Amino acid sequence: MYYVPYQQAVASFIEVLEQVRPEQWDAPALGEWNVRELAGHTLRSLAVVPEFAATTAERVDVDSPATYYRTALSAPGINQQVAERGHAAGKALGVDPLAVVRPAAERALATLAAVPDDALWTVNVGGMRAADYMPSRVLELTVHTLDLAQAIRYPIQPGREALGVVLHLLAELAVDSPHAGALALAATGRPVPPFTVLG
Amino acid sequence: MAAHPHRTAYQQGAALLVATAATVRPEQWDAPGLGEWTVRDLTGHASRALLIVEDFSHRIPERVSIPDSAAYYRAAFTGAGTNERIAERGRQSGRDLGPDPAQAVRAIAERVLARVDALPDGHPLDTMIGGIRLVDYLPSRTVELVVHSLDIAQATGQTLTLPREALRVTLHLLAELAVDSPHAGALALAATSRPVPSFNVLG
Repeated sequence: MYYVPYQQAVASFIEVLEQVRPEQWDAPALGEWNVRELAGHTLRSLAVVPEFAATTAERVDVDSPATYYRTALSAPGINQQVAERGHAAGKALGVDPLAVVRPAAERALATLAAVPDDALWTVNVGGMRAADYMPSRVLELTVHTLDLAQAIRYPIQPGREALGVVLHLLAELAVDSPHAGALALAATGRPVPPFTVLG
Repeated sequence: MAAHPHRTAYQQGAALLVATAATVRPEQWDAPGLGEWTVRDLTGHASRALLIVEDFSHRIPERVSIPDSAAYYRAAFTGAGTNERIAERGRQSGRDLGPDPAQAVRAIAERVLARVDALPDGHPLDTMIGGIRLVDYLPSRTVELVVHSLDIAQATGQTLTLPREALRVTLHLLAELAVDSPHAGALALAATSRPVPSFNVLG
């Protein structure tokens, strides 16, 4: 159910990294991150899959992908923590980022292929069904792949199933955000000031 | 039995348009609305999302050929000259609202919602470009009601309180249309505060 979208998102991430020229790894990408740091941050969405798949949980604490985001992003100081972890993740990628990302992708996909549909994991916000957790990883991979593609000016076309998961999750997040109207207007060609439904 | 969620969303969309029109001040009806339309034209165009359901509900199609609102939008926007026709029909619909557009919209909404209430979920509508079941068609009209209510609010300086089910239906349908458009990536970026050039998933 979430395997194909995730697989497509992973494939697009690798595709964009394959297009990064050596001198572009240190170019600005997103906020205070360069391309290498953004790639390192995005790699987390591969690394966490084997990590969390090794866990179990007694109960469901967070019961939807939208609630996951609201919970995860409400932690105090989260933005600064994420920014700093991105710097460290960039360093960890070293001189040949794809040599790190490719095996991480293979491991994540091999792990996921063996995860039962009703698996219950303990993730960073508590107990979650794998099926409710994974859409957030598809969103992270896809949006940051688009960021990387913009940074290196490569026209990426993420997979249809991945985009479906991402856009429906963003729509669901928007419904309970102050930005629902802005999203509807932005989607239909009306000029609106910048907003984010991720809060 | 609970009403189909598409009915609830459509009712909310209709109520939103009625409330938005009711807050337009008399001197604002002839002010700029959207593109070449005045607020009156825009409100007239928005009222078509009600009138057209009533109209189509009286025509029985030979068969149901359109599976959902996303397919309806894709089929509807492929006709040549569509935008010019929509622009002129908007002006005509604005004139049709008469001297008290807000009251006219309220009366239309009451009449059309009563008609919709009386029809079964699967009632087949003849949309001119094919047959579609009532509850499969309503989301497309909910998008129109919500987006154009937002347009009217922007043009007249109102802040709207948006109804939840209407928003949910609207945003998920726009997401569905975006997936099969060239703008899927742009929508994901726009929703997460990245600057992107303007785009329209409705084509």
